[in-house]
Amino acid sequence: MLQAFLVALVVFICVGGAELIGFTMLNRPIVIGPLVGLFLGDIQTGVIIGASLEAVFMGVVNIGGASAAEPGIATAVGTAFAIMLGKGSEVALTLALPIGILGLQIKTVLYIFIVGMFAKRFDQLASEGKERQIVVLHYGLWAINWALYSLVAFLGILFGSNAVSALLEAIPDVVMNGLTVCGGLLPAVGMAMLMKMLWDQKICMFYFLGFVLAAYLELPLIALAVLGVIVAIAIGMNDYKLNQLEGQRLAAVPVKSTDSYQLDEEEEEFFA
Amino acid sequence: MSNLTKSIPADERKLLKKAFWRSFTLYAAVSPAKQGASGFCYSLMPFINKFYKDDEEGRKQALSRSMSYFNTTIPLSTFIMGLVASMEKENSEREDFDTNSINAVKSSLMGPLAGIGDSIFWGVLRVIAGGVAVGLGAAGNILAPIVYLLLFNVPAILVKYYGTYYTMCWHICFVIMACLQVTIWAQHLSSQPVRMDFWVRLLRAQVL
Repeated sequence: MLQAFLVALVVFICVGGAELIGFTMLNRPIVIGPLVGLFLGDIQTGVIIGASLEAVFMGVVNIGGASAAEPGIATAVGTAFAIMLGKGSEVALTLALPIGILGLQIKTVLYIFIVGMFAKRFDQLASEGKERQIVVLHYGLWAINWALYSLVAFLGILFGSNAVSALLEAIPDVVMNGLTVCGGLLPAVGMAMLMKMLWDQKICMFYFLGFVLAAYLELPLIALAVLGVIVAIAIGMNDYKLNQLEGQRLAAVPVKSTDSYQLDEEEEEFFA
Repeated sequence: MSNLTKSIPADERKLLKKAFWRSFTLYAAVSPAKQGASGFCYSLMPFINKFYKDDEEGRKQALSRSMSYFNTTIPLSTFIMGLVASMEKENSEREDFDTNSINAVKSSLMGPLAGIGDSIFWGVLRVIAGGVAVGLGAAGNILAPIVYLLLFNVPAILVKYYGTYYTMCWHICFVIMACLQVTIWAQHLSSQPVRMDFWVRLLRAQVL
């Protein structure tokens, strides 16, 4: 009961707080994991689970409001079950994804049926110039919305822990081992989703360079970061020099009438 | 940066600071229909109350104007707020100001700025901060969440803070330019999508 309340509190503070003080990344797994760990008395496990879930959810980007799962409630409930049932981070990884997908559905429903209902009311209040009520509604909707959302986590922990523990007992070892291996693969999926955005054929060789450095030479993260900065500076200086040479070449050759047009077109393509 | 803030009158600087703090709650009452509309309205309230002190009808209209759909990346939102605030000021002082241009500027800026902001803050900064923090966290280091929050939020909040002031300094020049451009540009609106280069040129014209 107390544990369920604490987890719900974390969901309210982190996921709701992230909406209240806008875009501060409070609702990411790496923050929620340790906080749940702290409240349930096992901060070490919380940090480790938070880190592995952050790696999974790193690729989940909600640009323009579209996303695949809600990492906040997924991490909170997943970490709580992992700590309460005394199982490792594999349990958290296995549980987190379905909870995250469910959480997103609930969040969308709340957005549409709680806050969305008041869209007209906001307009009406604004045209009547009632500022006080706008402010009250602005904060009030926030409180109601996220209280309901954290209630989901509360109920999930309260009624779900027996069911989840029974479910985990019932799953045969072979399947559980398979799930564990899959859980280990999930960070790679998260990275792959991220790569899909960042992938570029000109710079993909650095990705493989980084892989070799990390996997075979076993360099620590800081060494990798320094190497990355060095490579970036070297390339940047090279490009700068090339740019200058190009400028000199253009200055030496008499300017054709089309040149300025071409530059303009290039610029437009860049910013289009 | 200090030169930047000095050119703004003290009372407006105070209002900007207020808008900066209020803009944190931009998405507190977020919904698919309105996104950050109520947050935008809430952030602009100090300005609207000051500019339309003696004009109740104008105040109501300004409130409903700021209650229109608004959605952009939070660190860049204050930039638009400052711009809209300076336009509201012009509107309160001049009779012949075209009020449609305020929302036209607002809604044409929020798309491109969200595109830039989401890629910088969501796509790059969050991933860098996450990469560092995941490395720390996997080793069981308790500092991981703190490092993560600092790495992400310090640049994001700095951008937001200075974004507020940038627009107000340029505001007079900017507003005239923007009004001119919007009227020209409105003719193309039906056939062309939102173009980034227009705003980049506009900004460049202000800087140089």
